[in-house]
Amino acid sequence: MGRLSIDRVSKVFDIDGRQVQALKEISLELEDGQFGALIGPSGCGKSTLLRMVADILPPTSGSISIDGAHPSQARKDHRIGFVFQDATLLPWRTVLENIRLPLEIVAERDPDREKLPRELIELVGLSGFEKAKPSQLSGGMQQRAAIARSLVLSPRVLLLDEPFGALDDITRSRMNLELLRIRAETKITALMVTHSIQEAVFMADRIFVLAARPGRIADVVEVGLDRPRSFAQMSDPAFTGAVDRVRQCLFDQQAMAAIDV
Amino acid sequence: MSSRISNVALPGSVFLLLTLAFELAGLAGLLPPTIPRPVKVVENMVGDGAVLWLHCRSTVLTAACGYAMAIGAAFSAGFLVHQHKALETAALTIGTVLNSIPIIAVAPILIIWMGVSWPMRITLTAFLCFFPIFVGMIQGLGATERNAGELFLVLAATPAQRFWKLALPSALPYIFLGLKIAAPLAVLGALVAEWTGTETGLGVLMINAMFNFQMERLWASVLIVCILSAGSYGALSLIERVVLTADRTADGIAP
Amino acid sequence: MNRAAAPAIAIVGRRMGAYGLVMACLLAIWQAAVTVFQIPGYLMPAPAAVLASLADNASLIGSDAVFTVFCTLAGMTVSIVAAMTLAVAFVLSGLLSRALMPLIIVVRTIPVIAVAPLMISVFGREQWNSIAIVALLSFFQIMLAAKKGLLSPSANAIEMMHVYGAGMCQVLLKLRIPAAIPYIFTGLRIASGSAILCAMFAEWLSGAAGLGSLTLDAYSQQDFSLMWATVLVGTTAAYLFFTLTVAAEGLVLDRTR
Ligand SMILES: Nc1ncnc2c1ncn2[C@@H]1O[C@H](COP(=O)(O)OP(=O)(O)OP(=O)(O)O)[C@@H](O)[C@H]1O
Ligand SMILES: [Mg+2]
Repeated sequence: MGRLSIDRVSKVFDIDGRQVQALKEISLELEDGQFGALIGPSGCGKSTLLRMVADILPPTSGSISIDGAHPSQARKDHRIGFVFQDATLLPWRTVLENIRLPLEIVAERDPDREKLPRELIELVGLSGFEKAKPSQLSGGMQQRAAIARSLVLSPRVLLLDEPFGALDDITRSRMNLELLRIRAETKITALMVTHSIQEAVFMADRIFVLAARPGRIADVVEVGLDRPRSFAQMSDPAFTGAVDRVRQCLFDQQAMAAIDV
Repeated sequence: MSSRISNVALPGSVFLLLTLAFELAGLAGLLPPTIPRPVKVVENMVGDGAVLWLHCRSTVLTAACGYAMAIGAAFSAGFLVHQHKALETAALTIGTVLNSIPIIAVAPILIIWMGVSWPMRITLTAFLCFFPIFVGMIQGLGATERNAGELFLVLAATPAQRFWKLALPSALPYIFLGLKIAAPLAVLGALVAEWTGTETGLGVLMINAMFNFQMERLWASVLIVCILSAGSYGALSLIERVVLTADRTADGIAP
Repeated sequence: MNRAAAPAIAIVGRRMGAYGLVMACLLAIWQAAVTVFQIPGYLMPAPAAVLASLADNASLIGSDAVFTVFCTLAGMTVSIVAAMTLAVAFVLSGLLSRALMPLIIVVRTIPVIAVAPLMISVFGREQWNSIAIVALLSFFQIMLAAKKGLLSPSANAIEMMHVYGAGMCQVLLKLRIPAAIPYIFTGLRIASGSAILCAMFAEWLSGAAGLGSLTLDAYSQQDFSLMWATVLVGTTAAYLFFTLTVAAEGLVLDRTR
């Protein structure tokens, strides 16, 4: 459970009558409990891919399956958790109320689940801020609340669109560790968009490097680092090797693009 | 703190000075007969208190019922438009056309349909208040943040949940704006209805005072109308401040 | 001059053309509804009857319309002068602004028409009353817009003027007033649409000559075709007013840019 497979998915946008191919024949697989990272130049279609997996957008062609089910089925069964780039908390709700929101929407009375928001608040380290309004939290705290909200229905697949893009380095590293800890506890399958090569290697089992125009997979890098991960591994040859390979791939693309022009 | 005091004290003393100036001018016989001395107006308000109260009650009743009816209508229309986006243009067009019919043409139609009666008064008032509330509703419901909309999509929320848990709360700042604009219009609507020939209401009192040249009574009733409209606006601003926390402006959702 | 005015004329032509088209459609729907549902004339007269009445009473409606338009123009002129003067005074004197602005904000929430009987008593039943009501109605919108515009130049721009040794008057003439013009037109635009309808209402209540009284007279004689004809003329005049303001705005902004 938690298997994500994307099979030759393409997406064409119609911008003022002009057809723009955002993604072309993307295929990728994530096994149950695996952590995948998507990295690539701006505008190559990373967010678009994530939104198609979450059934926010339909693909133009190709198919996506989550545990063998269509994304729309997975969405209706609440098997998908989504973390947006900005936390997207509702400003009129407190932290606890924001995290409870998905439960209200499911509207089933399950006493076990009613305890979950408080446990998740503890898990993301927001104890004591249950009653705070989002505007009273720092950016990192808001993002942690958003992660807690995405986990409250115990999804099988967690999609994260540059979740820590707006954070400073230190907070970002702390959040990375926390997300890894949550992943270890919940055994969730995760697909995360990031612009940071280090972050991708540190977090992921498998990195999908995308190229732009049209968006396609340029390289898949397997990261053979042990779990649990720690910052000490960053000097590991396996780590630096993976970083170099991703960087090389991104740089080659840039060089190609420069020749194109 | 001291600036906050002067914010009230300064305009307050200007108001008192103006009143005093009129009083003195009146005592010196400089005012035309149509402008009574402020003291006379207040005397009249106290002396005619019972009559004023009676008519005021009927105006307030009309205004409140019409306002409530307009809220109900605008709310239902807003809900429908939110659930069926295709209706939006049609609803706004109809609203704009209705809104551009002059009230002096609407009043006779309503009288022909309903006679000079309470339903006519209330409907006329509602007609006048409806548009600002409706526009606020539509604007607000359209102002939902895109990401929040996608969040509700991922959560597989029903259209009704989307309305109650997302669109309506994010629309509140706009709705309050519409409610604030409409509140004085409710008082106006009640007056216009009364001017078409009802038997009670401040409007009746005003018109009769005008025809009979009872200037103190005219000024007193106009003063009450002013207090009612400015007061209703102020009351709604207070409610708005309590309901909406400081981080929510008319932009809908805090950054 | 002629060449400069051409775009403005084009704007007026285009907008009035669109208005005519919309009106024609509405009248057609209305006519169809009256015919299909056999609505009796006292509930809703047919557009054909309204237009016929308009033609029959053209001179009466015409002269009344001229009167109403005159009052509206006079009222708007008065309010523009008063609003601009006060806006400049508020910008020059912080004390004056702090003393009067709160009162103005409170008074602004009171619908002008609600105090019409009082205005009629004070200003009489002739044109002065309509002029005063229109002036009062437009005053707040234009004044607040002008004040906002006069305050719109950035602190940097004002400091720059000071660095060049510009006095208060020069800052006003060369910086604040030019910056305020678009804002003033926004205020004018909002005011102009409702001004004529407001003048009609004033006449309706006071009985002064004009379209408003004609509406009331027609109603009391149960001549509903005439009543709707005057309303049609009033609404069209209101839209024309609005359009002329938009065109003037285009003309002035073109020239100052
Ligand atoms: N709703 C849309 N309509 C039309 N075009 C779109 C839409 N959404 C995205 N696009 C186009 O698809 C392409 C990919 O956009 P996307 O947001 O997926 O990029 P991204 O990889 O997430 O970029 P970034 O790293 O800057 O977030 C862009 O060229 C964009 O213009
Ligand atoms: Mg993106």
